[in-house]
Amino acid sequence: MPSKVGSRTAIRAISRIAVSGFKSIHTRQAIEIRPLTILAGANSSGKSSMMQTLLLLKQTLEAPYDPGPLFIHGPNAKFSEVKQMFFHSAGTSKSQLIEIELHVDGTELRLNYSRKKGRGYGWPAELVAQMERTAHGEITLNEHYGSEDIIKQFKGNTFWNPIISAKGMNQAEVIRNRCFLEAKLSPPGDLPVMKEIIHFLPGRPFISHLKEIIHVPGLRGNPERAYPVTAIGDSFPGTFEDDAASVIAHWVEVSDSNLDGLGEDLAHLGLTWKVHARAVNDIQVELRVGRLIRPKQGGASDLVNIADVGFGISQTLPVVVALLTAGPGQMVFIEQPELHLHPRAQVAMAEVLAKAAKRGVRVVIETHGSLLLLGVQSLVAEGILPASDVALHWFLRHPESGITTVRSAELDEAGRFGDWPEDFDEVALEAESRYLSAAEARIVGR
Amino acid sequence: MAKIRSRLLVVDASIARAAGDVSTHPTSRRCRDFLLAVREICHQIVMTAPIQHEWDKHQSRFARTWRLSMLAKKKLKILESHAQSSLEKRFPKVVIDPFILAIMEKDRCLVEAALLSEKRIASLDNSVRTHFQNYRDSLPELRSICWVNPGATDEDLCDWLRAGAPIERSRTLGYLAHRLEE
Repeated sequence: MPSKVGSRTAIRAISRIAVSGFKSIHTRQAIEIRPLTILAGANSSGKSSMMQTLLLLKQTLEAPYDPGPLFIHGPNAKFSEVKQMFFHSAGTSKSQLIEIELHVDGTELRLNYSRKKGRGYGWPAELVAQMERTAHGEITLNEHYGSEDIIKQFKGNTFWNPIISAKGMNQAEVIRNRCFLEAKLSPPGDLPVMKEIIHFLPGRPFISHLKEIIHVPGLRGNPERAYPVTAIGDSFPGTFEDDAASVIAHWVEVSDSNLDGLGEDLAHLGLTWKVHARAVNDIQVELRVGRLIRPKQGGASDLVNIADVGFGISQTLPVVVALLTAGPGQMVFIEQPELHLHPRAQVAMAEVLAKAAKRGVRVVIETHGSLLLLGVQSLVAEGILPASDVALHWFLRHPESGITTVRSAELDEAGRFGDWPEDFDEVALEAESRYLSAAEARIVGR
Repeated sequence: MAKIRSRLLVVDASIARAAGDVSTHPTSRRCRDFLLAVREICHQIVMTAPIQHEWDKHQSRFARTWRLSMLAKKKLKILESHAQSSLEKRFPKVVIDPFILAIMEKDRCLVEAALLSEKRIASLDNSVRTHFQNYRDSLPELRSICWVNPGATDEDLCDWLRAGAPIERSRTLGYLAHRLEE
């Protein structure tokens, strides 16, 4: 399990997300993404909504055809009507705009979406504006901008102004490329083959980060006798739960050291010591797991189909495989990593998450696990996980308006979070107090 | 409403044990109410190594959850063990009875922590409180310590906590000693 080491070097990754106008998020709410980012709060408090914006962009980029500025019904996030995405609440005006703000490596990109005006065939949402901000200034693009408006944006930017001036660029147009806007700048003239053209692609630094997000959803399906063979690469389109079997099969085939890591992590979680994958036919992979938690002499082939053991393994396997297969800077978004796990394993899960975070993976978890949080606090206090690698975000929903607010906290070196509205302890105290009072009343009355 | 000033309290392990021990009812209920009020009103607790050791030995599940929550919320202040008063040397000189000395020695950590912080102790142990009171002349620094008992029916400690846990003369070891003499 994790040893005491210092923090990692700087890694390119999504470092901040801000959202407004989306579902229960009315005004701008921002969260910092650190190697281990914990989203917590009551049910329906808006935790998933924050991350759904990234998943919408991911599935828009991954769609096999151009689905418009936002692919609203995909494998990661499902809406049947675009209006479901916009904030609305009794007593508060409906949002007209959804703003998604992303930060990667000093570059900020803001995307503004509105509902399509009017009825009829076409994209349900419209990307009305996009703003890129770097150290050189801002550039805002709008699909309706004319050439002059666009050139004006570039002239106000300390990086682009000298370039377009030197090249005499004075013609421009905005082009939508799925969920991003791009600009094409050129000098005057009518002969396109002779012209030098500049393509401004502000979405490009974000595309790989978004497509490489590994999404392990909260509903991870029933254990199957065999899983479909899926493509293995740096990115995993859609949700990850069915990809885990193929990843393991690949590790078996190439004798990847991650296979040992997988066995170690699952043993640490008290689930099994070994996982093996074998092709059943050309389209399916069978997963077999060790019957015991620890290896036993002569027990190398004491394996059973994953459908023949408890839910804990089948629900946890995609989590552990995703964390092992992800590279530095790659985001792994896991909904309820503690699902179906015994309390002891919930604490141990903190170490599995921390191990990936220390490799530079951006582990974002949505959790209700007080023991998991306590496990993270312990790792920080023990010096195994740097406090600066952890971000805590608590989502609160106003009881009347339903509006989401995010309160963030930092752990100190003792693993303490101070004034953060975490209510796990409060709930535990209330429950314990309630039971003790009831027991006392029963004993006294006897 | 005026903001309540957060105070540093020394909480004896007797409260930690009783809070989850249904056999001590209604003391157990009063102890839980006291601990919940401390947390809710944003007071802080002080612990030294001997106090932590006593808590580790005696705390109930309820008290463990409460202590963990106080720690996470930065409301638990740990005082260095080496920061000790001279009481360790002076107790044997002024307390002749070895049985009383043993009782006072056992809870010396409470008064030391109180003297190093804000002179407020909560404990269920009335007998040791009486012993400390009886040695007020030989150990005058104890006089100003406020000693409350959450298990006592007449102390209204939730109101006291809400009032900012003031050092009311009537709750100090010095005042009680005076009253006992009368």
